[in-house]
Amino acid sequence: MVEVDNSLLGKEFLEMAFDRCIKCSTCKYGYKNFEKICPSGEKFLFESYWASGRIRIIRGVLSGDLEWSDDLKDPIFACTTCGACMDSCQAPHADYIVDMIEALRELAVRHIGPADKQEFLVSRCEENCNPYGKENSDNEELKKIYNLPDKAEWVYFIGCTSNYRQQSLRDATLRFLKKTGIDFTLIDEHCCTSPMIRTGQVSIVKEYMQYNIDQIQKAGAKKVITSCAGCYRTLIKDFEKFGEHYDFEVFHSLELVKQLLDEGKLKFKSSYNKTVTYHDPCHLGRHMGIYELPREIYKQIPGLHLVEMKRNRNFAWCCGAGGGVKIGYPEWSVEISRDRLAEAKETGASIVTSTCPFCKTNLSDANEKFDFEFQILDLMEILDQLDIEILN
Amino acid sequence: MTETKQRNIYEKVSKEEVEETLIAIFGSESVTKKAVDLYPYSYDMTECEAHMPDFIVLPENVDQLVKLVNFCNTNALPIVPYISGNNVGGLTIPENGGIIVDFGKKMNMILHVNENMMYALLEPGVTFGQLQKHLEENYPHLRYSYPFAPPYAGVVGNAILSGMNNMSCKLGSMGDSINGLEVITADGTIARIGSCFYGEDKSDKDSWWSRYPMPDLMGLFINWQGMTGLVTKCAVQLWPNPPIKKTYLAVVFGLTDIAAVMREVGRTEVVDDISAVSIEVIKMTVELPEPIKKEGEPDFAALFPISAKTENQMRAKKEILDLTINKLKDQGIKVILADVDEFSKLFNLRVRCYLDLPAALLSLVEYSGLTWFGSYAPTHKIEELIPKVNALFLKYKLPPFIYMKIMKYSHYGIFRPIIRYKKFQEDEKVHKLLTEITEVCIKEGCIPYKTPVWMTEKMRKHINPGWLKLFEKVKKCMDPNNIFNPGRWNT
Amino acid sequence: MLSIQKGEDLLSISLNNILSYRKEEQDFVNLVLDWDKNIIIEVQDFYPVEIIFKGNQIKFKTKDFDKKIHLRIKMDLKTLLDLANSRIGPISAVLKGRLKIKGIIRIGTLLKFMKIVLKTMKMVAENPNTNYFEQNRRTR
Repeated sequence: MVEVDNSLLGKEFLEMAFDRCIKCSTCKYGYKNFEKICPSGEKFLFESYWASGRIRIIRGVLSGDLEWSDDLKDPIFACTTCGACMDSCQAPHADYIVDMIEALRELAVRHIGPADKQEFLVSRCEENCNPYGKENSDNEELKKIYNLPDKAEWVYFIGCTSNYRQQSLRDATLRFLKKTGIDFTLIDEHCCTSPMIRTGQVSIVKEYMQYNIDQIQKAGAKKVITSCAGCYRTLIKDFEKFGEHYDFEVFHSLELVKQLLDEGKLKFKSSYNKTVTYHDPCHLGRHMGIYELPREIYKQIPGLHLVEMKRNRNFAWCCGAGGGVKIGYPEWSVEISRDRLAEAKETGASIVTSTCPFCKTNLSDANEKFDFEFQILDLMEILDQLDIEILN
Repeated sequence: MTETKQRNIYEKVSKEEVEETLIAIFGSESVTKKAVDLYPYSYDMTECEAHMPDFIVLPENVDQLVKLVNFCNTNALPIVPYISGNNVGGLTIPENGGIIVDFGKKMNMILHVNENMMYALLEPGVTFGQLQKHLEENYPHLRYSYPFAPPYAGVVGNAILSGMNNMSCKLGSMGDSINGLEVITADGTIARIGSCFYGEDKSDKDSWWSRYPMPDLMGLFINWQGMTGLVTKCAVQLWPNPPIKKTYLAVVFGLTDIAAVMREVGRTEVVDDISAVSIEVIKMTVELPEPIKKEGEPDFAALFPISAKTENQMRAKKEILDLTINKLKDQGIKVILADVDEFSKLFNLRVRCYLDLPAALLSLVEYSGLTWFGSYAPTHKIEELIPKVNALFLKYKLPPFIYMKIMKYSHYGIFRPIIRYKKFQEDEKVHKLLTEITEVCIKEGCIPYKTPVWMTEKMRKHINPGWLKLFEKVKKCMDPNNIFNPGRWNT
Repeated sequence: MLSIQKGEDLLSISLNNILSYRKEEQDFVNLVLDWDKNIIIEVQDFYPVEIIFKGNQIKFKTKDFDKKIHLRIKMDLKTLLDLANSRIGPISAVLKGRLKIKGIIRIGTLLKFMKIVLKTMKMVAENPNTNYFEQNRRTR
């Protein structure tokens, strides 16, 4: 049996690669609907680019059958970690496939480094606490604008993509939260560490996680709300995986919206007379099991006609941004989104909506590059366009 | 790890020249020689020894393959066909290195479905999941027969290697359901075999309706494990899809009594399929990876899917089945018949994976290794085979996993002891067990299909010299430079 | 919160599957909690299995049964399936000799057992879903 370095955070997942997976290839297509689901497999085709192939790469590098070289970078890093393979696989290791790929990346980073340009995710964080390299915002300015206290029951964890790329989403969420009247504030955020975890660059992860926990605790909050699917997944699943404990609850903004609707506290005073299709973000859908919640919200918006893409819910085609692919393989990343928008076009929708700023970013980039003429909007942005009344 | 058997394949031509030629034929994105890309193809789920190929190519069309074959034949380079790598027999492991032709990624079109004469014309890379989806969406009145295999197993591979599927009690070997083949032989000739043979250049897509009655060249490619040429098209028969389907489960108490149950039910000619498994296998499905048979539990469970055009026909078939079961009970056999829909809801829905084919079966995908002695078997020998093989499993402290089928209304059977194991830890033990099982079963007349090389070596000792001589002659005639999957059947 | 033993024999596996169907349901939890009874079910041709209700736990035994057994029921597989699928009622089954209560009949225990097991079996049998692959997945 091969010895795996104890210092690797993903050690147990690397060991799993030897005891599981017969390469039955069920991971390659949607289980039972047999739709295309794996962006990297469909693009690069060779066995090494599918989940079962990556599990074999783990065996190869650990047993010494495969020598480390730059040739290994593409098969290891050209994967959005969308989790479609996890959903299709029916074997006992199914739920751990993405963990195995991330562990392989952690190992690869040690030997050959990350994929091209992915190292900037860490270097930018080290300079500015966010992977976009924007000057760090401690959010004090936003607190002033929205008249927020230093301490509150809730913290709105904005996330780097919302704060530095999709500010309209951030602002729409802030306005919504103000309307609800909940006692919330903002913190000086470091990146949630999702980009680092997905690309195996884990050196700063625990430090950043602890920093964010400390900031939330400093604000006295017992509840954290975020409008980013990636931050949501990371705060709930990855913090636990990395052994970072906290005593607050974490919510996605749509959970609050749904709660208000269920309690009859959210009333729509205007209509949204458009045909809309919902793109399931991987980090909310497959990774966290949330599919129906957003749909139940959209269906309650007056005038909104919700239509489904052919591949929806657990079969949803990834937007192509995740897993470090947006920065490492930018052209391919947008092509993946292009395929998703082509699917959206078949529904007759004029709006593509989602509940993740990173999905919004990549879908918007594809929308522009390939002239699709959709409006790409987050749920919070749609709500922001409506006249809504919230009873306190 | 992988030491490719020395064959000096780059004697006539350098590896660089090979790479250049392959890129010129297939395009640079469809050719790889990177070790990281080759590695997943170098071994499969079995305990068969790993061997690295030299190249992987992804063909898109027959013209590319003709160029490849001509080049390889001139330079004595091995060609190994690959669809999904899901054969449990090491068939796609390149024993002598060379070029793996991965049909699964680009040559995977369902070319035509003829509703009138009921067949589907397929490229080699078509999988069961794909065919099932296509038929359900476009031809719901037609059906194909699906194996106890995951959706991504190849239809053509299953057919030309005599697979056994969920209509095999009715149909027999899937090799019998082939209407036609298009092949490329060693000299680069494209030949169409079967009724599609008319037409000098391209065939009429509606001409693939029969294997007979011309001299049967199809046998030169069925069960030859890719040793005689490349199959580039295959027409498989489809069948009417009756609207009424019901599956019955029989549990049998008594280690060998299942044999009589299977044979007698097979002879009724009312069931589409008979598949029986050790009771431990039922438990494997519900996440008990190493189950033990408890005292008082039945020894085997068998599934009898029945299809019918009308309710009356279903009732009549059920009546015959009941009469047969009752007759067996009168003979002292302890057998209980139940509706599997009702049973599975109460027991655990996961057991439905055996019905809902093609499916990923937890009993097979539990670990990292899977191997078996999959054989065609004389049905009168099953009573002797079961206790001997059962004892071998227990000797090696593994839960017995015997899978059996009745084929073509009891003309012959399938006997398949299956071993799931952790590769890299248990290979040696598993190989020993499999070797003992092989020896026991061959002695009783079982004939393994999809044979790894070490198994055919054992078989050769029992095969009549006349067959071996003819086999070698045909192989030499079809493949004088031994480029097609060399090493298989110890060639 | 109920804890139901997984079971390693066919009947225990089935009982776990049946009883787990309602283990999150408060009414069911209230029925089972602290009932503290030992029931033996014999399915003809199979083997007897003891169901032990204790506290918040349900366990199964196929040998070394407890000395005190509160109820013994015997039936064949056909009767079990007929009961689950409402083709026969329990009273009818008893009257026809297809369902036998062995030893002293404790009516209260019997009726409660029917509520716990038979009613749940019927609910399981009635559920139209047969998609096994949508069960027990973290990602669903």
